[in-house]
Parts: sequence; structure tokens; C-alpha cells
Amino acid sequence: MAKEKIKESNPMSVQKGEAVFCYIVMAIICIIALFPIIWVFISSFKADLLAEPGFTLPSKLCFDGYIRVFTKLGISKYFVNSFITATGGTLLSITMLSMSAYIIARFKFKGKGLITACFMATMFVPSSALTFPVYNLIKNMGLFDTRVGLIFVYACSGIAVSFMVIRNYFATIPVELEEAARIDGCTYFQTFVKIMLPIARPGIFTAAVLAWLNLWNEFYWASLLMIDRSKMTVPAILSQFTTSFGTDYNGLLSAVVVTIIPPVLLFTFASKYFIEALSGGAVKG
Amino acid sequence: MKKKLISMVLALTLVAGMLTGCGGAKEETPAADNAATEAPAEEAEATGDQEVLKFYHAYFHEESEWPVAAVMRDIYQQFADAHADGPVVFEPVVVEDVLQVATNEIAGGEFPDMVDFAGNEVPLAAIVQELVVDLKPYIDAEGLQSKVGINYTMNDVDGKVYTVHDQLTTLGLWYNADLYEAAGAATPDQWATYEDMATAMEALRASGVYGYNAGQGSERLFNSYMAVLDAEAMANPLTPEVINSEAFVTAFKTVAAMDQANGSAHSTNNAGDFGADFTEGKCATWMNGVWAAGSFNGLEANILPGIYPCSGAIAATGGGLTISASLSDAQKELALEFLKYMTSDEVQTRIFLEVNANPCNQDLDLEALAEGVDNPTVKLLAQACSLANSADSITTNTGSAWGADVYTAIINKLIECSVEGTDIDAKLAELQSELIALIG
Amino acid sequence: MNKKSNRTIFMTLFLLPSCLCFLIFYAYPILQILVTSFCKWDYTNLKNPTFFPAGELLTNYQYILTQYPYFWEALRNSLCWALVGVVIQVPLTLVVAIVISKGLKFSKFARNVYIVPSVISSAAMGLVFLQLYNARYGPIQQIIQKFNPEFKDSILLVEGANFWAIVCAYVFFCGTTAIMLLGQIHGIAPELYEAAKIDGATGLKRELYVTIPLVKPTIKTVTTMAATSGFLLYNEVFFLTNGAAGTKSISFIIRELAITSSRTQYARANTIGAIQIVIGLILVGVINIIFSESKVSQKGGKA
Repeated sequence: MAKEKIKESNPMSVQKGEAVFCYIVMAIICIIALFPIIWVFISSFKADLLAEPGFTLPSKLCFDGYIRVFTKLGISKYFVNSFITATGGTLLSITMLSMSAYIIARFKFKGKGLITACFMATMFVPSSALTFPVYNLIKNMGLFDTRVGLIFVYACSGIAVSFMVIRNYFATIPVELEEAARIDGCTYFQTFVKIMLPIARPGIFTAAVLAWLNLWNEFYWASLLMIDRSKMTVPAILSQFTTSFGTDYNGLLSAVVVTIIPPVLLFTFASKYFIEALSGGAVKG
Repeated sequence: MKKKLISMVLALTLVAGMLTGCGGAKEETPAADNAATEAPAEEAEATGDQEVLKFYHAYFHEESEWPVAAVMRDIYQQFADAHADGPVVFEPVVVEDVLQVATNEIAGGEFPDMVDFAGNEVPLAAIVQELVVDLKPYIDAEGLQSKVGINYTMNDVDGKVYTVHDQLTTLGLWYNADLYEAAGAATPDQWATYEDMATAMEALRASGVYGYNAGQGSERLFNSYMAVLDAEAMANPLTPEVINSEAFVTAFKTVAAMDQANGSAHSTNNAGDFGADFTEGKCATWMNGVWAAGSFNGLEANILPGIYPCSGAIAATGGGLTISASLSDAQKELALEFLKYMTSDEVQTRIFLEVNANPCNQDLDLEALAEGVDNPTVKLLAQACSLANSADSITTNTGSAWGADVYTAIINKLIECSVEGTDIDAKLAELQSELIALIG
Repeated sequence: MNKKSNRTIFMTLFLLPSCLCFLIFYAYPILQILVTSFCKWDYTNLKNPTFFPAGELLTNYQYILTQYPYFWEALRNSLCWALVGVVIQVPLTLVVAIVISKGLKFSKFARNVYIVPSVISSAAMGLVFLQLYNARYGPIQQIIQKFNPEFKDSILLVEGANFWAIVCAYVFFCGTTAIMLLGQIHGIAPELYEAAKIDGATGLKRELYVTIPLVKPTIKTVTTMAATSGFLLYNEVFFLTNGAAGTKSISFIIRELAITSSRTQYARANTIGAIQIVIGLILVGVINIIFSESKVSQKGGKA
């Protein structure tokens, strides 16, 4: 099905036509992606969003929201919290899943299908069903209202996607590499660390970036497992702007702009390295 | 292909395996209970030789965002300071979502020491499982009936009062007198019936503005009208008889017809969406609470409070201060004293003047208090409160009486009716069968 | 023999952490969902759910399937959103990833821009689209009125149209999956492309016969993710319509029953949860079957 779609929308056959097509696609995706962002950005400078709605430029630049976000609301503390918990959770979860994904992708054993099915099933578990058991678990472990507890929960959440990504990457690596390493006398562990991990780096890195991006804005578990507001993650700042009177859009949108900057910067910065690492072409068939 | 089939089979075996695990699950549930029984020990943990009474509330906003939150925190802190040396330390804890904190505890058969639900309903489960204290004996013994005001009657569940909200969710409407005058429409104080209101709305539309905010706003009309037609029904849990009653049908169809004329562009499930339109003079009437008095920024001269047709108003308490049933005597004593403090004339005056909310204490003379200050918000608030407090029909809200799911279903149906050409009778029939299933 | 036990130890150690995490974090809740869907468990007995008597074990299922007013609407919507997600998102993701992988000027820029919407919290995105669709001042309304000046209703309330309005609020933002595919495409050995070039496969042919077959497992992942996210759609429904005018989804009604309902109907919510898990697994199974069959037909081209 996917193949047919490509045929329809991919008419180029020569290099030049190909480039033109590529630029058209890039232009379209940029417009799609920028549409909401530009709206948020422009609107964050409007003193009263509802008075001047839509895609108009603000009649007067209003920096109030930004000033408050940086001076009164102590946004840096939320950034630090989000960074610590998202990074900790990602590291734990990716380490754990790289190991199991490797086994599932490269070894034959009984129960493999069952484990895969189990991991996939996690995607469909409604969060409201997880709430109470997880809340109890964390409380019993004495980790309630601690970052460690939250990191633990983050490490366990979203395992299906990371698992799929990493397993698929391991699956594409030629078997010969592994066999050669084994013949050279590497132990299983050495083969994994020295041969497979470096080759699978792109897949693992991709999974890590995806996981981290998800966790940066995570709020459901944070608000559930944390009482102390000084340990809250970034989205906690957004609730500052909604009171029983209504919503302060100027402050809210300024905060949204500020909160998306770190992940975008980090992604831009990190992806430079990992794309470069990839271009070396680790898999020499 | 074959492999995939095998993994599918395995997946199904997994599911089957879990089903057969039913027997095991019975043992799992007590495990959750253990957690509950262990928790109190941890709560009784004292700092030094003092016990701690934790009080959870959600006034977390920075002062720059919502000054009211800072006032409330100050009120709490003063109480804490006054009891710093007592046998029990009062510790206010700011949380993001009080209801969530309480719900999680309740699911484990527990309740936090003390919470302020701030208008959210006290979860039924807490009451049914007797996790919270009946405050009525204390109120009676201390003679606080007039201090807690309508909490005493509206929160009465089979002769018990489990919660006292220090401020009331009082709802009427706000209207822009200039727009009414320009359209030659009868103002809300002249609406004897819903027909009067419909006529006024038509005149307003003809003059180029729109009548009111529907959706959450018009549900309030339905709420009030329903109470006018059948006060008993609005004060008790919803029954199939009420759903099929004449009153229900009349109230819904009247409001839905007005909503449709008003247009679906003016229907949402959040009345707050229309604040800007109202202050800018695009919308003539804003169905919203008295607390909105503080949001008119200098336009107070044009804007007047009103109540619903047939002299109807809504004054709900919602959930407020609620105390756990498993406190020590000393803790409980302090918790009750806090209740007395929060409903005292002194604190209630601050709630009126600084928080700009309708206080529950009925001993205060709001008009007189407003006289004493030079603040247009407070004057407007006083006006709105006394109007609503003197309405012929004062009812609790649908959410409190009939449940949040019923409330949402009614709003959604009204919103759907506002789309041009929608068959209101058909929507009513849908709503009736939905509600009957929901309460089943 | 020794070798074999080494292998077993190694495998066990490596699988252990994730399996433990699964057991603690998921297996217990899943088990609870499945078991309690046969129980009475609501505000009256939160502490101790009890099984329905033998003859009436399926009471909750019966209620959900025959009485609960929103189940069929929600199931239909969720399945449609899953289908739409696959049909639109998968080809879109593929095209975007291939185009960016060419490494043309600005492609890094485009890649970084495209990921941004995925970083914005869904609450903020919901707010943005609510403003865009606003019937009084949103730009979308103005566009519709250009074509149909008579249109005065709110698009989010018009049944049918609101389905697509919700689709548009999420379906184009597949930055994360595109990045995932991109990572795979970059991992393809350049030698393979060179060989293909010698065979005369360039342009579209090159993508069809080299790139796509090689990243097929990831396309499967992308398909699964698109179907899943469509099937589990919650935030968009919550923020845009709050379930009004026929837009409820499965995830939405689960929360309605468990959290919004003042009667805390955990068992009924879990009954829908159980149905959600089973249908979700069937979806994954169907996607697996589709991909394994097309893999067979692809083999000729690959060799």
C-alpha cells in the first residue's frame, strides 16, 4: 500500500527533477510544521490574544509574559527537573531495552513471540488503568515525591516504541559480523558491547531522542507522583496561567515558546553529531 | 507468515493465560490493601513530639499570575503560625490537583488529612466508604450554622455534612446595559419568563451583536429552569422518572431552541472563552459566575449583574474543606478549629474583599462591606451576590446534584442542538436514552 | 554444553531487566484490567472488587456493548482514526524521510523544523488548534466562509466535518517517526546504492527497489505507531470537542468512566480497556500479516 502511494507522488526520474521535488516537499513540511509554531510565537507578543486573534501581527509588542516567566516564575527550576528526570529515564530505559531488543532480534528461543507480544501490548494499556497500581508501587517503595521514583516510572513507560525501533535496527545488521566476532573468540557480552552496540548506535540514538522528547513534556506521572512543586517538570509552569477567571494567553504562550526551545536546541545540536556519525557507514557488508 | 501466526497465537495464549489467572487476582487485591494499612503509621510520624496535620490545597499560582492565590496562602499561613507551638503542627501543602491527590488515596481506602476541594465534588467513594468526617455534630455544637451558610443544607447527605466550602460558586449572569439599550431589548431584571429572554435575544441579534454564550453557559440556564420547574428533582440524584418528566423536556427544549437561534459559533463547553467578546461589546450577556466581577478592567460602569429568568440563580457550594476520618483526636481537633477559622467573620471578610468571592458566612452584610471600600470590583461583586442570594429559586448545580458525566452529556447535547437545522426533539430523545444508560 | 549454558545465562541476564519492568509496570495492571472487567468495582466497593456471580460474569461487557451510549461511536471513531493515520501518515513519513535523506541544502533545516511540533506539549497544541478552529475569529472559519458565505456554524460541532478537523490536528505532525525512518535510511550502506546505480536503478526506482525494501521493518514500525496513535487518540478529542457531537474515542470514554464519572466506575472502564487491548493486539497482528506477505512478494526485487 505504501509503495503505491509513493508511485503517485514521486514522479521524478532525473536528478534535477528529483531535487525540485525534494524542495517542494521540504517547503510543504516546513509550512505544516511552522504553521502552529509561528502562530504561538506571534501570539505570545500580543497583550490580549482574544482581542487580536488569527495570524495578524501584534499591534504592540508585549514582552510581559516572557518577563514574568523568567523573573517571577523560576522557570529554570522546572527546566532542571525536566532535564534530570527525562535524561535519567531515557538512559535507564534505553540501556535496558537495547539489551533485550538485541536478544529478541538475534537469538532464537522459546517464548520469543510471547515476549514481543507482551511488549507490544503495553502500547494499548490505558494510562488510567496504570495509575493506581503504579501509584501504590511507588508509595510502597518509599519513592513517592522523589525524582528517583519518577525516573523509574519514566524508564518503564513507553517501552514498546523504543523496543521496536532498536530491535528493528539490530535485525538489519548482517549476521556475518556477529559470526566473525564469535569465531574470533569474543564472548556473547563482548560481541554485544564491541561489535553490535557501535553498529546499532544510530537506531539506539534515534530511540533515545524520541524517548527524551516524549519525556520532556511529560506531566501525567509527574503530577501524580510529585507533591512538592519545586520538583515539578516543565509543563507545571503552564498551569500557572489558568485560573478560575480564564486563561492568560500572553503568559501561557510565552511559556510555551520558552519550553520548546531547549529540546529543539538539544535536538539540533545532538543530531549534527549523530547524523555525522552515521555517514561513516558503520555497516560494511 | 507462519511465524507471525505463531506469535499471534502466543499473544492470544498470553491473553488466555491472564484470564485463567483470575484466581490469582483475588490474592492480588489484598496486596493493595496492605499498602493502605501501612500508610497511617507513616502519617502519624511526628516532628519532634508534635504531630502534623497536612492540609492540601491548590492555590499554587505565583502572586504575579493570580494574587488571590497568595491571599489564600496567607490566610492558611496565619492559622499555621498561630498554632506553631500547639500539640499539632498545621502544615499547608500546595499541590497541582487536589482532586487527583484525594482520588488516589481514596482508591487505596485512605484519605489525606485534610483537603480543600475548591468547588470540585467530594468523590462519592470517600463518603460511601466513610473515609471522611461528618462535620455536622461540630457545626451544631459550636453553633456555626450561619457561618457555614448553605453548606449546611446543600451538602447534607442523609443528615450528614462532609464538606464545607468557604466560598460559594454563585452563578447568575452579566450583561452589557449599553447593548441592551441600543437594541431596545428588555434587560434581565425584566425577564419574568424564558419567552421574555428569547424575545430580548432576538432584538439583540437584530442589532448586530449576539445574545449570550451557549454551551456551558446555557447549561446554567437549563440548570436554573429545571430547578424552577421541579426543585425536588434538581436537589436529588437523577432518576429515570426525572429524565422523562415534563419539566426536563420543557427546560431542555426551551434552552436548546434559544441556543439554536443564538448560533453554534457561540457555543463551547467553556464559558470563559467568551469573556473577551463580552468586554468588547460583541456579546450582550455572559452567563458566568459572580467571581468574574474582577475581570472587567475598568468597564464596570456598563456592566451589570443579573439572574436567570423566573428569578432563578445557582449557588452551589461544591466540595470544600474535608477532613479524614482516620485522624488522631488532637489532629481532628485542630482540623475542626481550622474549619471554624475559615468560616469566621474575619476570614470571610477577607475572602469577600481580597479574594473577591461570595463568602459562605451569612452573618456578613456584603453591601455594607462594599460601601466601606473604594473598589469597583468589590461593589459589583456585592451587587451580584446580593442579587443571586435573593433570587426566588436558588439551586445547586447539575454537576453536584446529578454527577459530572450527566453534566457533560447535557452540555454536549445543548452544543449539538445549536448547529443550524438540528432536530431538537431527536436530540432530546438521544439525551434521554444516554442519561438513562449513564445512571444505570 | 558449556557454550549452551553460557548462552542461556547471557540471554536471561539481558532479558531480565525489561521483563521485570514489564511484569511490575504492565503485567499487573493488564491482569487487573482483564480480571476486574468481570467484577463489580465502583465507588461503592473501591477497596474490594467482587466478581459477579457465575451466571452474570459478563455483566460489564453486556452493559458496555448494549447499554453504554458512547461505546460504538467511540469504537467506530477510534478505528477510523487508526485507518486514517495509516493511510495518510505512513506515505507522508516515508516521503519526508527519503527527501530529507538526500542531504540537499536546507534539508537539515527542514528536518529540525519538522520535529518542532512534536516537541510542543499536546496541551499547547490543543490550544493552538482550538484557536485556529474558533468559529468567531479563527482563520479556518474565514477560509470556509470564502467558499460558503452562508456557513455560520462551528466546524467542531458539525458532525462529520469535526472528524476531519480532529484528524488535521494531528495527522501531519509525524516528525518523530520521520526521524526514526531517516536514521534507518542513513544506515543503508552506500555500496548498495552504488550497486543499484550500476544496475541502472536511479531516482524513483532506486527508492522503490533499494531504500524501501531495506527499511521495511521500520516502515512496519511506523505503520504500527500511526495505527496505534490514531486508535488511542485522546488529547485532540479532549481539547477540541470534549467528546461533543459524535467525536468520542475509546481512550476518551475510558477516562470518562474511570475519572470523570462521579461514580468512579473502574470495572466498566477496565472492560473497555480490555476490549482496547485486544483490538490493539489484533491491529498489530493484522499489520504484521500485511507486512510479512508483502515481504514475500518483495523478495524477487531484493535479490
